This record gives sequence, structure tokens and C-alpha cells, in this order.
Amino acid sequence: MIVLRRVLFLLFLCTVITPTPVWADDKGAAAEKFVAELGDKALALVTDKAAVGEARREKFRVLLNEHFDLPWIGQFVLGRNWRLASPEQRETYLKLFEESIVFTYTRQFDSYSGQLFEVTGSGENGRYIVVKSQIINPANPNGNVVVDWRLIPDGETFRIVDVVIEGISMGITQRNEYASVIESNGGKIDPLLARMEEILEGLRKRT
Amino acid sequence: MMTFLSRIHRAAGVVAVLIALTGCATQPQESTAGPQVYDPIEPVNRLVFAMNETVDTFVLQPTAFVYKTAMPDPMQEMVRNFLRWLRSPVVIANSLLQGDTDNAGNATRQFFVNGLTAGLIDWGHGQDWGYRNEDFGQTLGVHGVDGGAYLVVPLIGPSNGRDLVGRVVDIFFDPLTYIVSGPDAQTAITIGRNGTEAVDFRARNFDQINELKASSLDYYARLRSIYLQRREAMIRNGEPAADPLAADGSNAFEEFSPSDRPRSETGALPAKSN
Repeated sequence: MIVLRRVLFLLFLCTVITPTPVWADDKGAAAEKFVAELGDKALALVTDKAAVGEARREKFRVLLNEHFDLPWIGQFVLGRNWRLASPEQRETYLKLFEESIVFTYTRQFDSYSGQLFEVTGSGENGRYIVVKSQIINPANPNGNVVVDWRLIPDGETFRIVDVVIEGISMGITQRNEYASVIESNGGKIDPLLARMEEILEGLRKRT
Repeated sequence: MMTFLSRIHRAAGVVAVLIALTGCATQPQESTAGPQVYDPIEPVNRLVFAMNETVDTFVLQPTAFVYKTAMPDPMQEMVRNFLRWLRSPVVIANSLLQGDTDNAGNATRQFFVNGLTAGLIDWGHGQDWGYRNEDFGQTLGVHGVDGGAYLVVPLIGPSNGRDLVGRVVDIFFDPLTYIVSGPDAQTAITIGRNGTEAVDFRARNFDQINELKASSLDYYARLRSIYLQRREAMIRNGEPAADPLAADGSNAFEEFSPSDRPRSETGALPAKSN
């Protein structure tokens, strides 16, 4: 009886202890799937000749919000200046931030020339999950571009909080740039917002 | 012989000044700021940057445009291959200094095989003996030398103390330095080669660079950040850093917690948020 109880207890222990690593593997696989699906959807949108202009931007905006945590990224990019911003400034900033991402990236769609997207693995980086991928250019075997995605868990799914292209983090780059603009304007937020508006207007005109 | 010695002399002087520059370049100011950008002579850099931008607008960009439109693609390919082939001895030397015999071997193979067609055709294209570009700036980085002060060099562009020292040292790894005699011929070759490299680079990335400029709030600051991160990645040969560091070597992501989280209520992060 005691032996049986001990065996049962050990069995119980096993079921309690093992799920953690198994779950970690699952998490990596799920994160890889999440990024692969984003790749498929993005490729479908890029090659969709019917989607043009505002319609294309709207589709991209939906895709962007489904997969990226834009408020998170926006706060990260603003860094410690986020705390100094008023609620109105924050709202305007996040709107401009999303808008400029939409315009900057949809403009790149036209330069697409048959590249393929492939998820190559995943791992952990500090508190984050990192999914590794490659953009493969069939026309140029040496021209593969390595892209890493930094993810946070979000309930059953994930949110992307940074994209690293060939070692260059989009979040860090924008954080450095915005910090420089704020610094050269005496630490004020409004000039940054004005400059964002100005650049966005330029992008709108060029589209 | 005399000219060669005096050239070494002059170069040694330049190296001494550069090392002094990197020496002054201690650590980035405050780590709380996150980004590891260290730019003590920013006003001077911005001035040089503006001058380089003027050269880009009025000389480089038009030249690159004509080059990429008028020159047939296969010939552009040949120019690119030739420039790369010319650099391969420098890659071999630096790979060896980094203890990377694989890369040195591949570069050596490329040097001899492509040498049969004067470097114009890259026979290793898409083969498993392709090689990574290495320079003395990266070699110094591999051996733990910090980038030091960010510098914008006239006509050359973004650099830093370490990488500028690297550029000068690489001249000595280059067989052309010893083959060509006479300072005039040497200068002509340096200008011709660097100029062609610049035109080739600008032509290949024509739209991307224009796009980058158009979408930048502060183009100078954006390029500075990109240069810093790209060099870090090249030093690590594209491998991730051992520590959970951000791309610029800072702790930015580990230290960050959003102040309000309307979404993403689960996971490792929200424990730190409110």
C-alpha cells in the first residue's frame, strides 16, 4: 500500500514537473507558427495586385495591429520621455507612430521582387521569445536577409515588440533617433510630434 | 623606396592620432539613457555629415543613377565582383587575426579561383565557399576594443575611432599598397577604387537610401544608430550576443516595462508593469 502510494506520488510529481520544459518547447513552436503566419499573410498582401492605395494601407494596418503591440513599441521608442508626455501628447504620438509605420512599410511593397520568407528557429533572449527567420532572394543566393522577431506572450497568442534586420533593431534605431530630436529641442515633446507630422505629410505626398 | 618609407611614416603618425582619439573615447556617458551612442564631437560630425550629404546630392546620387541606368546589369555585377576580389587579401589577413581559418580559407580560394578571370566573375557565387567581409575594425572588436567616439569622416561617412584605425591598418594588408609605386599612382588608385565602391554601393541601394532619408526625422541620428548596431552585428558575425542585450549592446529591452498595458496582460512582462 505504501509502495503503491509512493509510486502514485512519484507519478504525480512527474506530471507536475515535466510540463514546464514541454510547455517551453510548445511555446517556441507556437511563436514560430505565429511569425510564419504573419509572413504568409504579409506576402499575400504584398502580391495582391487588387489592393492599392488606402485599401492596401487599411489591410496592412489590420495585420499590423493583429501581430504587433504598437502601444508597447511606441512607449519603448519614446523611452523615458513617455513619462514626461501628457495624455494628449501620448495619444497624438501613438496615432502618428502607427500612421508613419503604415506609410513607410506599404511604400516598400512595390519593390517586392519574388523574395520568400522562412522561419528558421526560435529561442529565448532574457525575458523575451525570439523567432529567427530569413528573407530569401531566389535571384541572389548570397543576398539572404536575416530577420529576428522579439515577442511577448499575450494570452493564448503573442505580440511582436521588435524586428531586428541584419542586426539592426527597428526599436533601438527609432528610440535613438527620437531621443536625438527631443534632446535637440530642449527636451520638449511637441517639436517631435510636429516633426513626425511633417515627415508623414511628405510621405503622403510622395505616395 | 624612399617614398614608401615616408608613406609608412605618415601613416604611423595618422595611426598614433587615431589611437589617441579612441583612447580619449572612454565609456558612454550614462547607461540609464539606454542607447550606447557615444558622440562627443556631435556638432563637428553634423557639419561633416551635411557636407557629405551635399556631395551625395550633387555628385554621388546623379553618378549612381547614370551608372545603374546606363550600365548593363552583368557589367555592374563584374564591377562589384572585381571590387570584392580586390578586397579579399584584406579579408584573409583579418580572418586569420580573428582565428577564423574557415573564412580565411574560403577567401583564399575565392582569391585564386576568381583571379583566373581577373576577379571579374565570382565563381563562388551561391557556393558553400562564400565568405564574410572582415576588416581590421572588426578584428579589433573581436579582441574586445570598444568603438569609441562616433566619427563622420569627410567623403567616407559614418565611422568611429576603432573602425577608422582599422581602415588605416587595412591599407597595410592590401597588396596593392606594395605593388603600385609612386605616390601619384597610389593616390589615383585609392580615389578610383573608393569612388567606384561608393558609386556601386549607392547604385545598389538607390531607392532604399532615398526612402530612408525621406522617412527620417533626424537622418544623422538614424544613420548613427544603424552604423553602431550594424558594426556590432558584423563583429559577432551575425550571431546573437551572449547576454540578453539589445542590438546596440544596451540593456534597453531588459530594463523596459511599459507604464500602461491595455493589452498583453499575460506573460513575463506585466509582472513589472502596473
